[in-house]
Amino acid sequence: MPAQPTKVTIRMYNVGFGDCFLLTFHYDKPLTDQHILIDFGTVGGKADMKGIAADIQKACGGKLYAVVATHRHKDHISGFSTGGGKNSTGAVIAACKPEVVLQPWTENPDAAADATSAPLLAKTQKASDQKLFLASLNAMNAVAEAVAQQAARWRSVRGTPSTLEKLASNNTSNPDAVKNLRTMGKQPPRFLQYGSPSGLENAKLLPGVKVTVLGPPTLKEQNLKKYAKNSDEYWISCKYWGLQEGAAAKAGKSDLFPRERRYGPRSRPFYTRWFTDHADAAFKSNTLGIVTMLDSFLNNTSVILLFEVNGKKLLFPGDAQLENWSWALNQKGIKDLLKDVDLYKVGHHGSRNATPKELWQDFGKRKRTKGALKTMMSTAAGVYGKTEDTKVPATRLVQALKSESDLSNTQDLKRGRGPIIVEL
Amino acid sequence: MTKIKKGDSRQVAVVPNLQPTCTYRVVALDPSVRGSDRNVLTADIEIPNEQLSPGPRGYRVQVVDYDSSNRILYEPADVNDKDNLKVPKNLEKDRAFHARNVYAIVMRVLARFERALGRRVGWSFLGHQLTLAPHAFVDLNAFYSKDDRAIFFGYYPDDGTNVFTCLSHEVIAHETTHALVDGLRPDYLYPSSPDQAAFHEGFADIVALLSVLSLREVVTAALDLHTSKDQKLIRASALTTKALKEGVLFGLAQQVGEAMYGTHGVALRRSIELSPDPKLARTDEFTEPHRRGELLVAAVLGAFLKIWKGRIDQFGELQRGMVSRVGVVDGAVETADHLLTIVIRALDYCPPTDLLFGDFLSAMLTADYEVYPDDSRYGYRQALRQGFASFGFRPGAEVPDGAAEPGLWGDPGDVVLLYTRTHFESMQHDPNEVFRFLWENRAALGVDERAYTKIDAVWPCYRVGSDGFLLRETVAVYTQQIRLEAHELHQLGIRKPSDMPDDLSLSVYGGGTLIFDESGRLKYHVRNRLGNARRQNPRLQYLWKQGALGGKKSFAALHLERVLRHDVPAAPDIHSDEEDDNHAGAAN
Repeated sequence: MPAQPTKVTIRMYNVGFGDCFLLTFHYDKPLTDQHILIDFGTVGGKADMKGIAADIQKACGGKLYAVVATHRHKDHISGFSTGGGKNSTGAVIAACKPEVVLQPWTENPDAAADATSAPLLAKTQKASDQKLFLASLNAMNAVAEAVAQQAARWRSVRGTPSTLEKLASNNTSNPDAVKNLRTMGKQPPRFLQYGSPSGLENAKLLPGVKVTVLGPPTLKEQNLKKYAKNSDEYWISCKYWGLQEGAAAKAGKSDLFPRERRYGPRSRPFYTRWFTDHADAAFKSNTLGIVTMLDSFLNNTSVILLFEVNGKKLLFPGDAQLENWSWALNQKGIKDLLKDVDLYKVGHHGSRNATPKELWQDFGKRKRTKGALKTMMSTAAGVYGKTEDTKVPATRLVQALKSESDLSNTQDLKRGRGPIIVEL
Repeated sequence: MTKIKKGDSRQVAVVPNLQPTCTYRVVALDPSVRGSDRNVLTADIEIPNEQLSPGPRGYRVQVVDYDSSNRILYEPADVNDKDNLKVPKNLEKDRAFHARNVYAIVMRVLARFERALGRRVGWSFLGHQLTLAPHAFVDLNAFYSKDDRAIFFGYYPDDGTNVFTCLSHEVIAHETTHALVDGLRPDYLYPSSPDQAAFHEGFADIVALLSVLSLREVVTAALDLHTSKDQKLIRASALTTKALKEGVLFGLAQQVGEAMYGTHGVALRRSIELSPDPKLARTDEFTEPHRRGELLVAAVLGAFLKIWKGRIDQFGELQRGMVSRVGVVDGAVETADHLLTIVIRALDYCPPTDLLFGDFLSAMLTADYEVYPDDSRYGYRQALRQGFASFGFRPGAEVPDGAAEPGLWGDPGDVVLLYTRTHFESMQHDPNEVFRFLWENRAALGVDERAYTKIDAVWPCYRVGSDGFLLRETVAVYTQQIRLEAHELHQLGIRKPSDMPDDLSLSVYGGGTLIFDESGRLKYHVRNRLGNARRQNPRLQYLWKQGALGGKKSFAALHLERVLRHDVPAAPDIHSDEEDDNHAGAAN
């Protein structure tokens, strides 16, 4: 009989608003324990990132088996940044020499493109759907970058960043973290999609661990439901984000009619004042709509991993939202596979639409007194959203997690110290 | 003649121009569409005349040229009657022309609504003057916002120049329609069926499209794309229905679509290119509200083509195989104009809540029948019935016994209504009086007395009939609402979706439109009863499955969703987010 891990330890670090999970698979000798780091990023709340990096290094004994970056959002990868050189958190993780780095297929640099590049926008030159899609994702980063810069200029008197600014800056690209992820593995990075091998299959180092990739779906798979149905629509979407990138770059820096007379801020005629105030608010709210949309596009590129160890099932969905999930949940056998999940990493920091009703209701180990479903949620309230519909974490979901499962929540840590350790 | 002192800025008029209407030259479609003289295709439109202030600022519309992206408020553009027909060589650079263009096109749509409905029509906000911001921000969107009492027109760079949504005739007409329909039927923005979710966008596209098709300049130019230019006669064989659709309309749509990626161009193009198929409406793809509106547009366009072609055939050939070009253009312009009257007037004959496309069809048929009982000349109603049937939509009206024509709403039937306790005169305009009528007759009218009920509007209307006489009607609209917990739904005869928690609190809506004739008698009662299980059950199932039981959508979000075919997730509420921000907080 092949070797099996004797137990699994999950460390959930308190990164404020973000994710950082270290999974340790314990083996009897002569095998050695193996460590997989899933995400390391923050975008708000208090986090001692350097302390966490040092703790990860210590816990894994200076050697990681694998690093998973579920998707490109800052609150999942900012810790991999090498800004600050040798002492940076990214350098510390890289020094743990992971065998392999796992990322969604959407991060594959071979296919990357720029949405505003001329060949893509010229309709006569047909680019592949995939290229158009990836170009759209990159344009979304650029839009977010420009919005974040502009929103910083709109800060209130107190100087605190608005929801818009925070959301936009989470969606900006993280070039040095991306580069670090690309180069830190011993093997070249693996790019995952629904049904692909996880890249963690290794009978020598990690025996007895089965990993299934449940997301993200490929374009061919997901376009049955949503994003686009034909090349024309990929092109339109790419064109949209390309133009939006150009537009965002211009906002705040252009003057359409430099020779035309205009009013100073204190000389605006009476009848215009109510309106100009409203127009500013409407513009921000419109921009927030665009940023929220691109944020959810990027969340839906999340890798979803199901670990099966010693008859236990651990589900790590990153920030996957309904559109990502709906592909897997509609595939034969997947709902059965997820019925007896033992540990669920709460998707997207507890937002309303990242734990789909049909997923949650099918977890058979909810509401048990013995052997109950364990849930782990890494989040910080007050970073995003204020209304019941938009708040992260969502009140109704937290109530359900508390009453129907054994919930660990980074918000419950005393003085914010972590990690929370769960063993299976 | 009024004398005016130099420098007296309070004085507006020098010589009052007493003509009731005036003419403006505006962009006919979009600046990228050129006429045969290679200049931007323009059209002359007639709108109500008024004494404008700089801006222009008039009695229903005011231009405030404020750019939020760059925080620049330009001074109002000068107004001068002599400029009304001027079109600058370089459109992009002329701010005053942009202002005139939006002003005139919005006023045309407003006047068109008022003419069709036979009364003054308000915007959906309280107040009279809609603000237009022709260069509102850098973005690929233009939208109406009730809260801001404004239409914002975005602009964006593309290929080294700027694209201005304020120069797109179709975009302006579309947004103005939102501002008007939202006032006439405010409940259509609430979550209901896929039909209702799609109605606003589809209807605005129909009005925009028919508005441009009722311009001679546009039809002439579109014909030029397909036939040899500047000939007085056109070969009849070149004017098959297929050719009119694929040569003329597609050409038009292509041009609009190419220019407006970020706004409605793409959706409009798709609507025109849709081939009739009664099964489409039931497919997943067209159950999505973002696409379903295209079916509505395509059904009306199908009717347009059929009537236009019928008129061309009726003119007959002037010489062997040739028909008159003027006649062909007239046929399109008059058809578009008449259809425009029908679709707008139909709003008065629609139920105020939970609209289905079939209801809209019955409303159009009834609205037209009231004024033109004889449909035999051009067959408008027949073409509409066929256009909708070809996409699988049947009239919402059940065929009543002895109905004059299929698809018309029936009369209220044999119910005995009490008129003696209400006064004829007050019933024409007073919501309290109409409510009394409703309450006194609640049993006969099937109005559920357990609900919160209110009269939303009472509109006296004057419409000109085909016999030359005025058709005098009063339209009154009431809505009802019951807030309850899911386990109480059965008390209304409604089925609770199986996995809906018993204690979920939700609202059920209903309501009706009462049309009174000139002697104050009830002629039509178009309604959705609160307890109509046939309607309420599927609506609730659909909303529960979609997770969309609460909240109105903004037009900004509707447009974005349509371009990207993706739901805009509920965004955090920015207004509450910035309570201490001077810019937003000071506003109210």
